[in-house]
Formats: sequence, structure tokens, C-alpha cells
Amino acid sequence: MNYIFLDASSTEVYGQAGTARDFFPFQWNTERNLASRLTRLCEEMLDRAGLRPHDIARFGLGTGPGSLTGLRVAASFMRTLALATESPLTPIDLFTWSAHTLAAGGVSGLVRLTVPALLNQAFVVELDLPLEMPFIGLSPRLDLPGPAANGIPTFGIRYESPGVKRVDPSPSILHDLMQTAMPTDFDALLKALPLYVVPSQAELNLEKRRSSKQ
Amino acid sequence: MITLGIESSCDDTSVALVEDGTRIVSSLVSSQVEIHQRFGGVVPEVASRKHLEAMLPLLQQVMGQAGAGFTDIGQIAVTVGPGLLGPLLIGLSSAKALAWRYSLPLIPVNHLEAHLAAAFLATHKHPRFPYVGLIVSGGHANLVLAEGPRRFTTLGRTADDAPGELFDKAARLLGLGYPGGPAIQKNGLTGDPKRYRLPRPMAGKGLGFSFSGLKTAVLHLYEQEGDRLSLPDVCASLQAAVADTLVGKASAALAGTQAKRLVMAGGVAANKPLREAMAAMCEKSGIEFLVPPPALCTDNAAMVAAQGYFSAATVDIDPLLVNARADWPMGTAFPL
Repeated sequence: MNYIFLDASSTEVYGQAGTARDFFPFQWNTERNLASRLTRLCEEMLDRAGLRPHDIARFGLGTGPGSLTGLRVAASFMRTLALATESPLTPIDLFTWSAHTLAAGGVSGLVRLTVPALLNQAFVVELDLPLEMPFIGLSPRLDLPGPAANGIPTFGIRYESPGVKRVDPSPSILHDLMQTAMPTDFDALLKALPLYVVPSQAELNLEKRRSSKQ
Repeated sequence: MITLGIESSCDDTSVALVEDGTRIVSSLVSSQVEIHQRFGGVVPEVASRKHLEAMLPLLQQVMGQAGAGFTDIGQIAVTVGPGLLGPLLIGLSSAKALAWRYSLPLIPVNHLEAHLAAAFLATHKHPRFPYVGLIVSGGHANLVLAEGPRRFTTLGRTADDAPGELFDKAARLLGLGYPGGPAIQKNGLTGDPKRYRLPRPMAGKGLGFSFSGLKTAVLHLYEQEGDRLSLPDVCASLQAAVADTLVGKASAALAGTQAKRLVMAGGVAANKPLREAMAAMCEKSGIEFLVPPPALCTDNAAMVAAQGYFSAATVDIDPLLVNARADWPMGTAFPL
């Protein structure tokens, strides 16, 4: 099934186009200017895959966690395309994608996966590999970026540090995930949103004000 | 031709279909006012999240109401500035997706220019030039001379607060909640506009505005009067001060430009005392006065579609490369 996928969770935007036979990974530095280049990036992917816009039967969205503005720009674009063409939209977060990548490489059992966040923190999940389902609901938390205190093997997604092994989400795994059947109904489309790990700063400030009053 | 309009510059997500720039086929607005009330103002990060969530249901409902498919759309108009960057990017990305997929013309629209177009949309007529335009809202107080769909000369603007911002801050001080404009109008209904003599800022001093002094004056009045302060009277007096100020500036702009037409738009243009005062001045001076109905004064996508239709011929760039701009002065080049 022909598809395009976009992950704008960092300034290094990742894209992938695929057909039933092949897939074509891309990476661009959009210099925080994704919105003005969106259609050019898609054209580039389609040209390489020998596809035209109306050939796409499925859209893929990287849901992060990561840069909220980038994630939202990509989400708004891909969600609208899916709505307008009545095509499925596959939301794929970095943790799930990386977990399948690790499992395909022979890693099993409990692992800790981390994505760097601001202020010396990381988005963290702990998962039991291999995953029982291709897509699972995740609730990442904010934690320190280093290795787990309890000895669980820790993997850094697209980075490494002492005690943290690197894992790079695999294009071929993404290709497999994009071939997985997804619901096409409107409610499923509405649920394809960026992974908001933390409340907004305004919400945090509001909570602080409320707490200090009590 | 059907123009799809998309607006997401602040805290209202809106989608509309407008025929030939003058007939609203379908129009919906999803307001975030209740969400932002607890913060006392618009929070950009929260607004961005809500725009993303609201966009698809609105698109689907507007198309459904009109009984139209995406292939029935002739062109797409989208607000790209000025406004909050995060929210603007949601509307722009959605518009680009549709324009790209269906090879439709995309028209980047200036939010302030769109407010003025709402006055013509309301009368089902194309804009007639020249005219003096006054845009008054929570973020803007702009006085312009309009000589074409995208030909604007700025005559004056606020040096500090916008009138809607003044109403918001005064309402918060008076314990009336958010948004301030409607609350102040409601509370001022039975008030005496002459009870408290508030200043008319920069009266007779050019065409610029300044509303921060008026805000301070309300604060001083509040502190001086204490429990004796009459809420209806202070609300009525504040509205009178704003209306007098804006009428004075608009009148001076009309005299200076020799224009015979005044268009007032923006959220604050929904304020009844202001509308009545401006209409009275225009009638006395033989000036044609156009102001949208209150529903079209606040942010909406129908005005964006209308301005997109009127200004489509001025697009001289590849609009798929356009970017959102928090600050995009009226009449200037499209932002890339």
C-alpha cells in the first residue's frame, strides 16, 4: 500500500515514502521552518517513490514526543490529508517504533526507552519486549536521562550516553508498521494527535497558583 | 466560485465556505473562550492544541452543512498573520494539505485586512475604494486608508494597549471575568456614561492611539472610589471614553484623506455604544458607514474567505511556500 510518513519531532525531520515493494527514507534539516516546506518535502518523497499525490492510500504521522510545534504542523497537515481523501492515518510514536526495532534485533524482556527533553530531563517509558500488539497506548513520564537505577537495560532513542545504548528507529520496521491495517473511521482520525507528555507551562503555572492559595 | 476560508490566528478556530466573496454558504466557529477563562487570557500553547483538535470536526461539519465535497472548492484562503504563531501554523498546514492534494489556488490572507472585508461580505457587495478603515480588537487598533484589495496605508495605530485589551484588563480589575468587552457592555447598559470623567487619550494629537493611560485612570478611579464605585456607571463611562476617542480619530482621518466611506471592524466593533457613536458621526458628516454585524466582527473564517476572494489576483508568490508571521503589517508582501 502506497504511503507517506512524516516525523517532525525534532528539527531533523524524518520522512518516508513507501510502496508495496519498497520504501524510501528521507531526512531534512528544516531549520524550524517546516510549515513553509511541507509540500516540497512531500513532493520530494513522492518523486523518489514514483508516486503522485492521488496514489497515496495511507498517511503516517510521527507523534513524538518532541518539538511540539513541529509535531503539530505535521499533524495538522497529515490529518487534513487523511480526512480529505478518506484514507487511514497511522500514528506512530518514537517509543513504539523503537521497541519494534529492538525486538527485531533480538532484544527481549523489560527495557527502558528514553527520548531527550529540555532541562536535563528525558521522556521515559518501560516496555516488555516483544510488544504483544503492533500499537499500544503509551503514557510516557519525565525522568532523568541516564540509565535506570533498578538495572533495567536503558536505550536512548537516537542518542547514547554512559549506561544508555543507542537505538535508531528502523525504516524497514516503519515500513512494516505502515502496512498494518488501521481503522478508517473519523473517531480514529481524531485520536491521531501528538504525544503530549507534559502539561503546558501555563497549565503548570495555574496549578502552582492554585496550590499556593490552598 | 466557492472559497474555503480557514482562520486560527488566536483563540477561535473557524472554517467557512463563501461564494464569490459575498455569500456565506456555511460558516462555523469553535471558540476557546471557556478554556482560556481560567488563565485570564489566551495561552498560545493551549490554543495551539485546541486548534489542532477542532480543525477536522469543523472542516467536516462545514462541508456537510453545505452538502459539498472537497472537489467543489475553487480556492482556499487562510490567515497567515498577524496573530499567534502556533495557532496560525495549524490553519496554514491544514490549508496547504488541501491545496496541495487538490491542486487548488491558495491565498494567504492578512487577518486585519480580512476584518475589513467582513463589512462588505455583510452587505453582499464587493469592496469599494477608497475608504478609511478602523480595526479595533483585543490585539489591534489600526486606522488605515484602503485604496485596493491589498493597498493599505497606515494612518495610525496604538502605541500600547489595544481597546479590547483595555476592556479585558478593566473587566479583570472590576471582577467581571474574561472576555472583558461583552462583560463591560452588559454591565454598562443601565449606567451613566457621564458619571465618571475618564480621559480621551491623545485627543487632537494626530491619528495614533494610546489606551494604557485610560487603563490607569480606571485603576485610580477604582482605588479612589472603593465601595462607592458604581459598576454600571464606570462601565458606561469607560465605553464612552473609548467611543469618543475612536470617533475623534476616525473623523480626523476622514477629513485628512477626503474619503467618503468608513469601515469599522474587529471584535471591539461589536460594542454597541461605539457603533452608535460612530454611526452618528458618519450620518452628521455625510459619510457612508459600513460595520459588520456583531457575529462577523469577532474572528471568523467567512471574512478570510471573502478577503481571499477579493485579493486572489494579488498573489505573486508560490503560496505553498508561504509561512505564518506573528507580525505581518497590512498591505505588505506575502511572508515567505
